[in-house]
Amino acid sequence: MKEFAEGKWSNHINVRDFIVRNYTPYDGDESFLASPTERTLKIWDKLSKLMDQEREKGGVLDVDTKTISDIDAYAPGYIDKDNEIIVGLQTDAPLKRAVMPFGGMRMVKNSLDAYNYEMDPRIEDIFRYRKTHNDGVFDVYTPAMRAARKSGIITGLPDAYGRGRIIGDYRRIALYGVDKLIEEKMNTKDDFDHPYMSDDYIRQREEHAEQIKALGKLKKLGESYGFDISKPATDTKEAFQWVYFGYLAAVKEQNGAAMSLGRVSTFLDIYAQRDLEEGRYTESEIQEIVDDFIMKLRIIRFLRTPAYDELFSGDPNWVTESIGGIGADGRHMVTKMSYRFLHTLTNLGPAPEPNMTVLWSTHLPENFKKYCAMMSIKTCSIQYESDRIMRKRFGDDYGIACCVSAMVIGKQMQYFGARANLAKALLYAINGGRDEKSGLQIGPELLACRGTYLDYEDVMRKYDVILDWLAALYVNTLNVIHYMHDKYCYEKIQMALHDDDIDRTMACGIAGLSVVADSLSAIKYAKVKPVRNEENLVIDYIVEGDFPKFGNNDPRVDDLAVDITRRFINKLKKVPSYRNARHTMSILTITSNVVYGKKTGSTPDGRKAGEPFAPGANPMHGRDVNGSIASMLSVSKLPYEYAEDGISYTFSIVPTALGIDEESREENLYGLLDNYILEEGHHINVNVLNRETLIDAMDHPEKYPQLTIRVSGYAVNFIKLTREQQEEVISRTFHTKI
Amino acid sequence: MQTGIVHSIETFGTLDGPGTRYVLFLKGCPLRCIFCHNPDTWKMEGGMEKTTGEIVEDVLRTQSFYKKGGVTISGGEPMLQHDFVKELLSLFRENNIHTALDTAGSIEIEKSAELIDLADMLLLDMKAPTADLFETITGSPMKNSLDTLDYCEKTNKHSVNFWRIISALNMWIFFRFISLANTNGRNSTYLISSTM
Repeated sequence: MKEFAEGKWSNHINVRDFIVRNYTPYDGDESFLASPTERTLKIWDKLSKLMDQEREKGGVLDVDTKTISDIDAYAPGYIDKDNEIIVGLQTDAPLKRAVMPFGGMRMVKNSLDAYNYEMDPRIEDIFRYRKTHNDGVFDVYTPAMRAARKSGIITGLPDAYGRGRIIGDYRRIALYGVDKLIEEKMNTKDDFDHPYMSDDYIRQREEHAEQIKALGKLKKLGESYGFDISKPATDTKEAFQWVYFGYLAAVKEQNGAAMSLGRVSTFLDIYAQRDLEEGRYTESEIQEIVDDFIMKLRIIRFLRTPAYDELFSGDPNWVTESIGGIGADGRHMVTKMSYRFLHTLTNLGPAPEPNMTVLWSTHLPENFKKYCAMMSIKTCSIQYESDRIMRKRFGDDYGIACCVSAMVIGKQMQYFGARANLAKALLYAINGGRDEKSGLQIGPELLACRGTYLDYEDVMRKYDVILDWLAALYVNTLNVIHYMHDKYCYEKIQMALHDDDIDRTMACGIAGLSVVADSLSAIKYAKVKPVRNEENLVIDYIVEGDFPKFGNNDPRVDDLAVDITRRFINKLKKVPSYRNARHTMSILTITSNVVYGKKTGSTPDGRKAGEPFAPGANPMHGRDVNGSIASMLSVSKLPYEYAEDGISYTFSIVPTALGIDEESREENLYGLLDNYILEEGHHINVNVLNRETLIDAMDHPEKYPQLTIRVSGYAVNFIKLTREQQEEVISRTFHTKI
Repeated sequence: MQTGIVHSIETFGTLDGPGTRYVLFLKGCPLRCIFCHNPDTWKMEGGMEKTTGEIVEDVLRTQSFYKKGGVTISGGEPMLQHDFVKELLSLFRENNIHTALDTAGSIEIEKSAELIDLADMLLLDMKAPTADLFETITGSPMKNSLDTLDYCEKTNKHSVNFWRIISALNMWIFFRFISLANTNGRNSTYLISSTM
């Protein structure tokens, strides 16, 4: 067996170094790809039937109510023991969900209630004595935090379950074996022995000890399935299996909102390439391993409440895999494995998970770009993010957590912060800090806007004060949440697969940016007359005249969006953060734009109370009237440096508007992606489909079991969305021909 | 600088000429085609006023998107706004941006010739194959369209001629088109599209 090229990685943990020295860039086309084997189709068929049953049962097939989930808590489980290539399930049976109470018991109880299961009394008893993350947070939440949470000016906070958005470097297990990882951690244990044992050192030392224990459990997990993962993987199959055990351990330990995979495909290609060359596996056998691995990722499940589902529906886990990109040495990082991963969308059909994310650059090989465009048109399952702007900040071994959050694999983590509702904040400015729906004084008591028409300068002055208040309250709230999460629900195995020295970001977010930009534009360029109720609360607006709208490449309003983005991140940065995490911000809503809209009164842009916001950084539905290039140019003006945690844009187009035939559609799409990236766009979801298909799927879900559509930051099985969300997706701008 | 009356702008046009195109739809049309998709372009009223400078600047800012395409000036009948279109075409030519005129050829050739010369290509929508049918469909005589077609032949203009077939009038029209194409020995590309 050929030895891998040696380097820094040979002595110390450095997966990037291993990849760069050993990977084989692939410039060819997709013709080498293999079809699914009979075995693969048989297992997929079995899983598809189980997923049908799951849907028929209202979304949950089964729950293990007796076990507290942990890395080594379950007996091994199989789909089809004799025929599986990659093994391991979250519990002892496929699609059986686990009870994970460390984030919060309330979430577990409500979920069990909703699906008619009963909590095992033993677990209930244990958690009378064992405090959870959720308990900790609510012990500390201040009245102001509770009020802001309740009114919905800050929502989606990870205060009741796992925060997620942490990516373990699962590749380390394959490359080094668990024993070496334990050894390295043992060697650095006393780095946290300090003459003055401050909070920080004590916490780090405790976390370090937890990490080492978790690695021990990981080894046991492998043993239970009959594998010795203490040593490095020796071939392709083992490499996949080792990586998967790492990921599996993470999803057994944590029910984080987003449990992303990282950037494993090009790493795994190194093993596959060697095995192909030395005749250990054929292409078909390698694809079979990939297909089997991807199937496992498609059946990751967490127990969630219907309220959670309303926010992020369709059972998303954001098993995000980052594919492609360019290396620091200028070589692209597309390998045959990049193709094989995307090819599962053909072999197994389209699916939302894993969340396939292509790190796009104009320097990717032409063949690969064409293939991606073709697969996007065919499956609507791929998202694209700019390697060009992320590589500058994160180097060439970063991955995407969740939807758009870049982080250096194994070296960086984030404190996920959900988002603040900037549209509601604008209404607070107009109403003197009172909530437009309840009339309660939630924000600071200001003089409400007076007069027949809103005055731009007056509104902006007040908005600035409200944003100051909101930024401070928001970061303080996140500080509480992450303090408690570290304390009661620490990600032991994921952090064991990180370096000791970690860069942390406080990943704040905003919702309603296009509503705010359009509202400010209406106040500035048209006349906006507030409508007050008997309590002198502004509850509606009458807009007289036209005004520039975000999404038409019109600097008059686009600049307002940029200004608000800059203002808010700068305000966030002024508030000290837990563990000195660096403040970042995302413009991303996922599907929560529907719920945010529901909780927000009428806005000065003419949007009525309760109507959804646009997703992520998208222009409001139907207001981007100059076609998709103008629309994406408005979005691409939002500077990444102000929103380093990602700027999400979702693009939907009907096939006939993309080009006259298949070839021109592919060419037009990839030309569009190239130029969006050149214009410094960060992220783009691509949907190519007809509105009629979606309408039909709403009424006949059984006909569309695998219909996948990209929503802000993730892909979702369309028929799993709530009716409201389906309607919102359908109401979005679908770029069509005039 | 000329000012024109614009109906709308499509920044990602993939169907009106080769590649990805910036499509400018102008207001005003002398024809009243019975199958018209956009009767809201017939009259000048209600359009946005834009100067040639604004349009060209808008395109230049986003030029990279149109490398493999260009700009299509459509309508309405774009050549109705002669001076505006003339200035636009000249400016795009100066900036090396490919232009297409999407026209029904409904303007007298004496006036339209210089615009045709300035455009890189023509998308000529012939509407109907015979004079009487043309009048029935559009409410106008066919002379200008035929003159335009002849002019393009004569000057070897790169033109794509769209000849529409309405399903109700079916194959008869199709064969009349073919015979017109054959008898005149025309050598430009013919795309037969069907409406409705």
